[in-house]
Amino acid sequence: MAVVTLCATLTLAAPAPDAARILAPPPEGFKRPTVLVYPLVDLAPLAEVAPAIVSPTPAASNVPTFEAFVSALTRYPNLRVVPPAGVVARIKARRAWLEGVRVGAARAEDGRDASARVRLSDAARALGEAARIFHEVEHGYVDPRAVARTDLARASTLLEQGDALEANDAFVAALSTDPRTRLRPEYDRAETIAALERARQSLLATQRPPDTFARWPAGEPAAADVFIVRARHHAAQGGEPARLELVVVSANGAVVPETQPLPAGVPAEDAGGRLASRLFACLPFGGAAPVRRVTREVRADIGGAGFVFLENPLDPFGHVGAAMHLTTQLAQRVSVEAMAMVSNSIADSSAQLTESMVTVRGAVAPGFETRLGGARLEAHIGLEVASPGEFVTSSNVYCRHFGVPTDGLGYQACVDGGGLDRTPRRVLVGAYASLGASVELPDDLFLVARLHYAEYLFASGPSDLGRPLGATLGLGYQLR
Amino acid sequence: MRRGALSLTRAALLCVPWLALSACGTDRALTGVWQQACEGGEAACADAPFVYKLHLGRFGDDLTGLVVRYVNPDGDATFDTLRECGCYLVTSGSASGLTTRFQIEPGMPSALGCPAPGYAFAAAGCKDALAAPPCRAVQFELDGETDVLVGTLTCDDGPAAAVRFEPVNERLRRTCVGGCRNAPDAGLNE
Repeated sequence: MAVVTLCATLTLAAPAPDAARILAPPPEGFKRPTVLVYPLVDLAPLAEVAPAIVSPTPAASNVPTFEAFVSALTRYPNLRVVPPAGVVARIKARRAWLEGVRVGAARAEDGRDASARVRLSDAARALGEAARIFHEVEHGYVDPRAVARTDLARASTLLEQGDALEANDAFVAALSTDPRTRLRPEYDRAETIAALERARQSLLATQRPPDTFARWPAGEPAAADVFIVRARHHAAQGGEPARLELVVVSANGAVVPETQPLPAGVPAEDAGGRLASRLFACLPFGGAAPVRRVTREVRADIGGAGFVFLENPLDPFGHVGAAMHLTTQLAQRVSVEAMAMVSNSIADSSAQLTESMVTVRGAVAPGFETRLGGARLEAHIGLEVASPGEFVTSSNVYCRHFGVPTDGLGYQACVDGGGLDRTPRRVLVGAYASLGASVELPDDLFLVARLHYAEYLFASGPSDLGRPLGATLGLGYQLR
Repeated sequence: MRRGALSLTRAALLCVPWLALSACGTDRALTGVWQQACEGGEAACADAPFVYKLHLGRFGDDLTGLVVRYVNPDGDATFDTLRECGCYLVTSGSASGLTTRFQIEPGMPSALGCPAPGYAFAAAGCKDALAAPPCRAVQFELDGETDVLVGTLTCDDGPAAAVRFEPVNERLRRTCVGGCRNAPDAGLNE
């Protein structure tokens, strides 16, 4: 009994086998490196004088070892492998690709049109521009034949112009994109066919990859945990076995080359698995997903303020004073603003306001903000509590000119005219809205301007004042 | 976005001066101090016993203020404080277009102002004028708005005399008592 219990304990306590641990699903929150496996460029047809024309299928290759490699790489649970079909979809989803294909196709059409009109210089320029755009947006992985045709047309034009060197580069580009590219003796000039043949032979001899092979694509956002795998398949040649040539490209410019010989008799699964294993070893394992931390910024600014009560029995008259704002970030683009303002009134145009009026306002408003470069835009909506001072008005000309009689001074005509209206200090509560824009200055200082408006919904007593609309301009400091 | 931020800043910068200027209006024309001008012509006041200084405040169509009267024994229209002989509230004032009408009531009791009779109002001809006012009311009817006011003043039902007033850069008086702060005001709450 004791032996059985001990065995059971040992069994339970035994660590899981390595293979099981490696293939176990990653824990929750694990951030997996992304591996973008580009469609294989099969250079085997390059060796054929007249390869069969097949429909280009960039998402799938006819090299079993590459298929096995992708399959083996996909099985590593710590990697997020995007297969060739997914990469093509990813390329086509880029805005740059959509725009590039549109512009590139238009320029290629311009070039062919110019070529037909024997405007060779214009044709070469337009076709060169089209080819450059196509390669830049990696259209060669989406429609290799179309890109190769553009390179081919450019090469032919350059050759007619007498620029054999540039023409050779364009022929090489066409063949590198689509190794099945050939010309037809019944349609094309013998000189052009010969030049393409020379380019094919030179490419076979050098096997030089195109410049874009080990380059991070312009349309792909740079990320530390994204890696690009591009592969080319070389056929057996001159006693050398066939091989898969790979590069792993990272956004920081690091390039790791890998080569997998494909000797006859070695099963594709074995060769592909070994290649995947080596690639797995050189990729980062991954780790905990980065927790998005929001730096809780607190910004304080103080400055001048001015506003008018749009709802007002007199002509609109201004209030000027000082305002202070405190703004703190709650989330990445969410913030809350607190505002305090004190102001005094300016005389109205008809001088019916007989006493200056001190108004105190305060508001708390959550809202959104976004920033670009050194500028920040913000919008907040919230609650305002305001207290306009005693509102004393008069339509009596004696009161307006001489003021209210006090201390024995002044004119009784003011009192006799009965022309003083007094509304005591009220408390008003309502909705507050502000739009702000700030520009960063050196040393965590910033200049901020706001437009603000309030709509009062509750008042402690009858009040003739409402709908303040105004602006503030302040200098602030950002506390981190 | 930076351009949007600058636009908003510009709007805010423009808003504050606008608020400050919102108190300005055209219906305050005439407001200020006007002194009677006596240079020749119909408005010559060499023979006039009194000359006047107007401290006016206009509010749209309404007009009020103070008229300070000075004795003019030498006909030289000296607006010296020692020659001050009465300070009167402008009543029934109105301003419409370029025409301004108002009156003062020197004949009304308690319209003497400050200082008290017998102190500064000792100028020749002033005591008599205060004791026995030559007019119960003086009517002013003036035309003009900015540089000059030209019109007439009429003592009760007497003949109209031509007058001319020009603006002077002086502090606008809003009380007749001037420096004697403890004295009751002219025509006021007593």
